Amino acid sequence: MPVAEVVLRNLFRDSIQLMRLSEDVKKLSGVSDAVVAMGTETNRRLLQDLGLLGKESRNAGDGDLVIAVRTSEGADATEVMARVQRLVLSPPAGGRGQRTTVFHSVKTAMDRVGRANMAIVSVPGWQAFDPAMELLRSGVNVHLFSDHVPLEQEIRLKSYASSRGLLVLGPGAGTSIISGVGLGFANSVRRGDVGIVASAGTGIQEVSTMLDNIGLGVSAALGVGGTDVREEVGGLMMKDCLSVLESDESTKTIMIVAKTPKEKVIREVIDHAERVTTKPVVACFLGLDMPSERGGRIRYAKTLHSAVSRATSIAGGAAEEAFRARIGSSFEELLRASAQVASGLSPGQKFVRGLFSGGTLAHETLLIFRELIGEPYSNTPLSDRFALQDPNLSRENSVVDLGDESFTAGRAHPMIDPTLRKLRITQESGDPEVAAIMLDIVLGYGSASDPGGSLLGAIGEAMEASRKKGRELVFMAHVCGTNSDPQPLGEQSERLSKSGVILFPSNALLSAAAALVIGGDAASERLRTKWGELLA
Amino acid sequence: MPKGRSESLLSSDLVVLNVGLDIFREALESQKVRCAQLDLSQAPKLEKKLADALDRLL
Repeated sequence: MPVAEVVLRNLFRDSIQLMRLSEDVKKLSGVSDAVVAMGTETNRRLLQDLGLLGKESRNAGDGDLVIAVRTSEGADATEVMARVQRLVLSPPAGGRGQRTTVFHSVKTAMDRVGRANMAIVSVPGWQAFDPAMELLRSGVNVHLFSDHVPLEQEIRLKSYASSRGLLVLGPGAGTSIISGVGLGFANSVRRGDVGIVASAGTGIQEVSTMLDNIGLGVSAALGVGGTDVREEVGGLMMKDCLSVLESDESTKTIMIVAKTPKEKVIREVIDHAERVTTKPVVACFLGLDMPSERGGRIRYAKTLHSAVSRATSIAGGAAEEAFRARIGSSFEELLRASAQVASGLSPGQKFVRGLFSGGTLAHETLLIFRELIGEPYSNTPLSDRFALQDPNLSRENSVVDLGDESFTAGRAHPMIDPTLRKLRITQESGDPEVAAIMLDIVLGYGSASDPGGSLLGAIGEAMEASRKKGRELVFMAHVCGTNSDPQPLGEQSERLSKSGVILFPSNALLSAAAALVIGGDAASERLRTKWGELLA
Repeated sequence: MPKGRSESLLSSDLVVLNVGLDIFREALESQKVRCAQLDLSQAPKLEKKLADALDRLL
């Protein structure tokens, strides 16, 4: 069927608007498939994979908007394209098609809604400084979702905020939970007495949902962004957030989560925690060897799973019991489950492919694999030697973070738009050496309306195609969410299970199980000795 | 860090200004949070004039 295309030069729409436009265009009569996207390399590759890349879009640039449409049999391509362009060029509406009042000054907005105490800023990073500073000057705390904010600007924003008793959460802060409200990508978790400060967005989602699922709750979760723990920033906001959690009466236990922090910064953060806090602290620094225990009030954990286990020990009573029943597993149980999965594999199936939407979850998997089966290849590797030369092509054991900027330039994040992950599932399933595909399914506010369900078609087709070639392809997943989320955990889990996906109650257990499936006796011996560090 | 608005933030009802992606305002609305969409990149003249006039009056 014919493909029609138009490239509109220098016309920007944000990735969420474009994803929604693509869906709306696909519903028009005369359209059998469509992509509306910025002309980035990732999107041009997507167009090629879908057979929608034409001459014009091949030459589109990052700042150009590409409309590519496959018209239905018998449709008038010119007429269809005219309707598509009218739709694309109409002013953007809110998600439910309603026009939203947009204010152009902090003051007029506050006149309407009252004295604001928080702002979410998600404009492109290079545009973020001015609005963030204006909000701070108006006395408003800022959750800065935008990434790629220049480091010098980040330091200026944080220094200004800190000197006035305000918070700048971010840049690159995916998640915060304040006064029971989720900001950015956050889950609906019960309120409780664990206060979290983290430089790891899906790290907050993983620990807060696990706490919820065992009956504990969160007083606040403050995401400070990954760059806060770089030496230039020195953990400025992480330290301020520790002070805020210490003075918060509803917080009884403090949890610190950091991904790839600098050791010097973490020493300073720990010193600060020892100086200003009096509450029990659980610290999980993914990728750093645990510092030696100092004083006993600060407990260290090597994985997010272990961090929750430590918090559970502090809470004691019913929480410990619930953790054992709903999340905890024994080495023997995991070994039995993995052996059963491995028994269905053909001799040539020897590698695992992790296709992640959460960066922190991908990072945790990289660390666990390194301990158990050796470092895998990745687009966000632990060491340069294992960098995937082309992030679109896996090799041997690979863990791919599809939320990394190499995949999200001009596209919505994979937690919102499953398109790239679906294509990657199909691609990986064509490799006869692949034994298992690992997935994280992240629920919550900001995520897609049906994160698990949107992948079921691709999963089913991949399983069926493998069967026809005489091999069983295993899908293993962890669903990060709660039953109060807009996409309830129980419902999502049930549909995935019914489709043959094997589910695990934490990302760490999923990673260990995948390592056992392909790692055999050597992996199980290593896990036996490291069980206490990783999964207890 | 001096005492400031962050000290009371965790125990206050949130009122949020959203600058950027609509999905975050929609998520706030679904949580029944008071919020407003703000675009600080281009202030229409009338709104600017109104804000200035209000500043003078109040």
